[in-house]
Amino acid sequence: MQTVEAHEVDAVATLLVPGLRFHDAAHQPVEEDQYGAIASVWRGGWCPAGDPAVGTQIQLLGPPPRRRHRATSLAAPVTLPDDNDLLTEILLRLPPRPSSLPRAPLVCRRWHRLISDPAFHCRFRACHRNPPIVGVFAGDVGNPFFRSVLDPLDHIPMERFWMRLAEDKGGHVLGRWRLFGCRHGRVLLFNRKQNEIVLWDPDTGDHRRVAVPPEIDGEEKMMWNGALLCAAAADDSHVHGGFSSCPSKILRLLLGDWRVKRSHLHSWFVLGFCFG
Amino acid sequence: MAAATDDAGDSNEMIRVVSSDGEHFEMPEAAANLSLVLRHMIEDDCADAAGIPLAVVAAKPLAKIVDYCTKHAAKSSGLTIEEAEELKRFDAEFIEVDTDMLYDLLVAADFMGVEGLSKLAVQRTADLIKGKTPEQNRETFGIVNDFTPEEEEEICKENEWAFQITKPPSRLC
Repeated sequence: MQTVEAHEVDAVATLLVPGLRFHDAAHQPVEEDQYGAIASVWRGGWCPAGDPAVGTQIQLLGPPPRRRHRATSLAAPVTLPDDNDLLTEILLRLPPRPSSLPRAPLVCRRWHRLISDPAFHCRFRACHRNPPIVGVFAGDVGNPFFRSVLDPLDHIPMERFWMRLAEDKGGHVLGRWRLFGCRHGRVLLFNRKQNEIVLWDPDTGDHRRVAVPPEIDGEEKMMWNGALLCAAAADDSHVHGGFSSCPSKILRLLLGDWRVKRSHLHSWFVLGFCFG
Repeated sequence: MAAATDDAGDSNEMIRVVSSDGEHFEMPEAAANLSLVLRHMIEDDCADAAGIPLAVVAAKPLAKIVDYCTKHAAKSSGLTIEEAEELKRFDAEFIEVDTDMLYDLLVAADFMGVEGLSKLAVQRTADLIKGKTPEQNRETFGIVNDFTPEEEEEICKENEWAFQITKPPSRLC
């Protein structure tokens, strides 16, 4: 009978070797029926003789994978693996469409837990670097509203991205907002009453605002248009995300011959303002 | 003994593997090298005539994995556009399996460290999930709803719109 010891887990490979017996960390033999999906053996470590000099690295895993339920119906259900990493990989490959990921958390607690992890959202964005356009904001003057452009299965109601700035300085009052543009899921707005520029994340409702310099009085000099760019767009590895996931950059307002810098619009900057 | 028939790679050496239910298979070394587990076993001179035992891989999925690895090892480099397309078609047909086999491939590919096959099985599983309601997914995957009614209601509220199959609004602009 071959014997190896279990220590220093660094497992990648997993296999069962007939006749191989395992000891746990306390050097107690482990019964064969407890092997489960069995020992994990890493290169340089598979050594039936258990030569300590080689540094056998074995991990005793849990019980064997739960077998699928045998249903009596024609379409037997697929049992998903117990391995959370594997399930996460599956969920990461859901298409970035409204009919898939937003519904998945309601399946069960396990799915909800995995999908609610902020790290999952970062990985999901990284997996889907070119998400589809889910809709557009229409109504460039007054009160911009969302309009879905996807088919009925993926249709997002306009209320989902209703501007949630209502309680914030009269956001819903018609005629107060001017839509300058959208990019990477952010919306650039100008509040004429407050004379400030607002960068809004419709998904989370998060927003940043910066006051327009008093020189732009709306009479002789006024805001005409704006454009939104991601300051990190040149970085191929950059994944566009929420405000918190991007590095701080500078908002730069180009005002004729002079410039004003603002540092609190996070990773976005605005440029190309024209004044009439 | 089941054996892979296609030639794969430059190595003529055949690697034997043994399924959990005792069936023996052979495949070219280049094909075996697509499995992280088998590659390390080969590098450590642990691949002998008795065959490498694979504890949690039964004969049926192992036969499929041997086919997959043999096909991909034979087309591993310098692919023409036509060959790449052919491999893509092979993958598409390969993964059109019943749910039992899909589960077995999912677990076995992950277990053996066959990256390409693992991605293929993962994507196929994700395709089964997409566009379905939570209830449909529970039924497909035999999952028990373990939320309390209160929890379920709370999660529904978070993404209420996503659970409504809606029609486009008639009032626009």
